[in-house]
Amino acid sequence: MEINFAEKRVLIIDDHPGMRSSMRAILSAFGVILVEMASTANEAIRRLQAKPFDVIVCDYFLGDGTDGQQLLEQLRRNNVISLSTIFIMVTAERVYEKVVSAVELAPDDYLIKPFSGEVLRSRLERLMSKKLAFAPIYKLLEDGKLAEATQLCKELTKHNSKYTIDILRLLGELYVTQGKFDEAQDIYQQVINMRAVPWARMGLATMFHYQHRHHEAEELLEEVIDEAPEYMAAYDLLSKVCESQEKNERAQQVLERAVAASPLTVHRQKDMGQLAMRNGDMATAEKAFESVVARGKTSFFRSAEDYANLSRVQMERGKHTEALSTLRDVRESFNGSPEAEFTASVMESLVHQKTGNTAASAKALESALEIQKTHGLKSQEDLSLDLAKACFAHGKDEEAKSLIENLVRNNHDSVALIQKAKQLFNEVGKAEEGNAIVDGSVKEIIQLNNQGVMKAKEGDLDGSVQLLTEAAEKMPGNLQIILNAAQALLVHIDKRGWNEDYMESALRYINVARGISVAHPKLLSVNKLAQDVTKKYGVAA
Amino acid sequence: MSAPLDINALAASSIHEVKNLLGQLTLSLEEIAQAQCPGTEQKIASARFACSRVVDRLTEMLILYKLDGGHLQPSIAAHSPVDFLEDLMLSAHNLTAGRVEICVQPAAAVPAFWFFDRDLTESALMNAVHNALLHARSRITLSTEQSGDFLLFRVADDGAGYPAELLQAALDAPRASAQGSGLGLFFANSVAQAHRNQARSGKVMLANNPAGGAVFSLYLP
Repeated sequence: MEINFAEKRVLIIDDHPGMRSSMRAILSAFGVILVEMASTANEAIRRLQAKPFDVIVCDYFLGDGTDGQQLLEQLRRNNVISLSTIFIMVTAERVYEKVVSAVELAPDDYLIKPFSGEVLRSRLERLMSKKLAFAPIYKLLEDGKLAEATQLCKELTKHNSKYTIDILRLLGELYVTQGKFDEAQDIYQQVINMRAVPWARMGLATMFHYQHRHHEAEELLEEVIDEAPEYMAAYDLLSKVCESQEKNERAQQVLERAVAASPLTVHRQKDMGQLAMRNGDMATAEKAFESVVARGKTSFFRSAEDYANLSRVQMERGKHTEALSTLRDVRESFNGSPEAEFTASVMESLVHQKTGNTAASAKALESALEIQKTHGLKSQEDLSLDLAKACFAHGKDEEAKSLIENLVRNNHDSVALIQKAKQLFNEVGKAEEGNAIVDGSVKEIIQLNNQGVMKAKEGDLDGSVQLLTEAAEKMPGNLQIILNAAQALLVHIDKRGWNEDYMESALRYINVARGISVAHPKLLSVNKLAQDVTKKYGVAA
Repeated sequence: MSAPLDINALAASSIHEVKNLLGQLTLSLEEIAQAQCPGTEQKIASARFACSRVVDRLTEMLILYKLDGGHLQPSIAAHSPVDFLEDLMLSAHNLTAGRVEICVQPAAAVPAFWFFDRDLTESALMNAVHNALLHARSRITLSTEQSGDFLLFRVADDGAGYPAELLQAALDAPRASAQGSGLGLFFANSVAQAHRNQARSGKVMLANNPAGGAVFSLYLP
C-alpha cells in the first residue's frame, strides 16, 4: 500500500528530549512532516484533545511515574482518541511484552528499542493497512450500530486472514458490551482452543465472573497468575471475584499483591482503599487513598471523590487536621468547582462536628446544601450519606431522611447501600424509624415494579408503560426500574404494533442501564427482546 | 557495615546500561546516515552491524541471566509469519548496505497467522542472520513455510557452510567457538524449546546446503 506520510499527523510522547528528537529524525526520514511532541502524559492529553492525530508513538516509561500503558487506557476509556488512531508503544524492556499480552486495552503495536527507521516505517504501513481493513467496523461502532458491527465481524472471521485473531478479539468485546456473555464465552474458548493466549483466558474468566460462576473464574485466574505472576489484570479480576463471594479479606490480600508489584496504578489503589475501609483496615485504606490523591494531583483524570475518600479515612483515624488540609487541597486542586466545593463542605461539616466546632460545622453544611440546590449535583453514594449524616447532626432530620430515601429508591437492590443507610440511622439513635424508612422505600419500589408487571399481565399495557416510565424518570439510577420500563415499552410494541417513540425510549433505557452495569442479568433478556421486536417488524435497528 | 556487593546484579544492571547506551548510539548513527554524506554508506552499515551484534548479544545475555536455570517464558500472540519475515529482512538489510543481497523466498504454504513470541523469535533469527552476514559471499535467503505441525523459519547463505564439528555438536550447552556462535546457538535453542504447543516443542536444526552454504532452521509448534 502506498502511504503518503506527509499527510499523517504524529505525536511523539517521551520524557527524554534526546529520544524525542531522534524519533522525529527517524520519522522525517520517511516523509513524516506533521510531528508534535509531548514530554509528559498531561501534555500529551492536552495536545490530543486539541486536535486529532493519526499516529501516537509513546515511550513506555514516562518518567513522571506514569507509564504509557496507563496513558493509553486513560485515552481510550475517556474517548480522547478514536479507534482509528494508531498507538505504538516503544520500550527498552522486554518486560512490556508481558504486560501487553494480558491487558484489556492493548496498543496497536509495540517496538523494542533500539529499532531502525525501516522497521518503524514497515510497522506503520502495516498498521495503516490494518486500520483500513477495520474501517467499516469502526464506522459502524462510531455510529452506535453495535449489532451490524457484530454481524460484520462474524462475516470476516469466516475466512482466515492475518487479522482473524484481532477480529475475534474485537468480536468478543462487542458481545460483552451487548451483554451477550454466552456468545463472548464461545469466542474466547475458540481462541483458547487454538492457543491459550492470556487475553482470551482473561476474557473467559471475566465471562465466568459476569455469569456468577465464581469457582470457575477463581480457578482459571489462579492458573493464569500461577503461570505468569506479572499479569496485573488477573489480580484485579480475582479480587472482584472474591468480593462477589463476600471473601473481602482475601480480596484485599489479592489486591495487596498487585499493588506491591505495581504501586502506581491509580484505579487499583482506589479499589484497595475502598476494600480496606470496608474491612476496617483504616491504616491500609489511608495509605491507598493518599497515593490516589498524590497521583491525581499531576493527572488530567482525577476526581473530587478521591479527596473525599482520603478525608473520610483520616477523620475515622482521628487525624482531623490532616482531613481539613485534604479538603483545602480539593478546593485548590479543582479551582473551587461546584463539585469540589460541595465535596469539601460536606466533609468539613463532619470533621468540625467531630472536633466540637459546631458553628463551623453548621456553616459548612449550609454551604453544601446551598451548592446542591443551585447546581443540582448528582453526588456519589458515600457523599450523599455523609451529607445526610451532617444534616442529622444539625437537626435537619427531614432533609436527611429525604436524602436517604432518594438514595434507597435509586439503589433498592444494593445490599451494601441498604446496610450503610440503616447503619447511619442507627448511629443517630433512630434505628427503628430508619429501618421503617429504608424498608418502606425498598418495599415501595418493589410494589411499583410488581404493579407495572401485573398491569402488563392483565393486558393493561398502556397502564404498565405509564407507571414504569414515570418511575424510571423519577429514579434514573435504579437499574431494575429502568429495565422494567424498557421491557414494558417493548412488550407494548410487540403486542400493539410498531411505535417509533416507544422504541427510542426503550433503547435509551437500555443504554443507561448498560452504563450502570453491563453485567446485570435482566439487561440480557431485555436486550434480546429489543432485537426480536425489531426483527419482527423488519425495522433496521 | 556496607551490604555485600552483589556482583551478579551489578553485572546485569551494567549490561542493561550498556545496551541502552548502544541504543542511543544506533539512533545517532541513523541521524548521520540521513545526512547522506557520499562515501560513508558502507562505513555506516558496518557500524550499524557492529552495534546490532553487540545489542543482540547483550539482549541474549540479559534474557538468559533472568532465566537463571529456569525456563524462558515466551509471550505468545498471533502474528503473520510473512509480515514478521519482512521486518527481519528490513533489519538485516540495514546492516549490509548492498554488500550482501538479502531476499525473502516466497512459499505457497504459509499460514495467515501463527502463535509465537515475536521478539524472542526475532532475536534468535537475528543471530542466524548475523552469522550469515559474516559468511555469505553474496546472498542471504530468508523463508518461512508450514512444515507438518510446525512453522519453519529458514536463514540460508551462500558461504562455506557450517564447519563439521559444529554440525555434530550437541546444541544444548553453550560452547566457545571461533565465531562466537556458542551463546547464539544456545539462545536460539532455548527460544525454540520455550515454544510449546500441547506435547510439541520447538527445535533448531543446522545443515549445509548440498549446493553450498549454511542453512539455519527454526521450527515453532
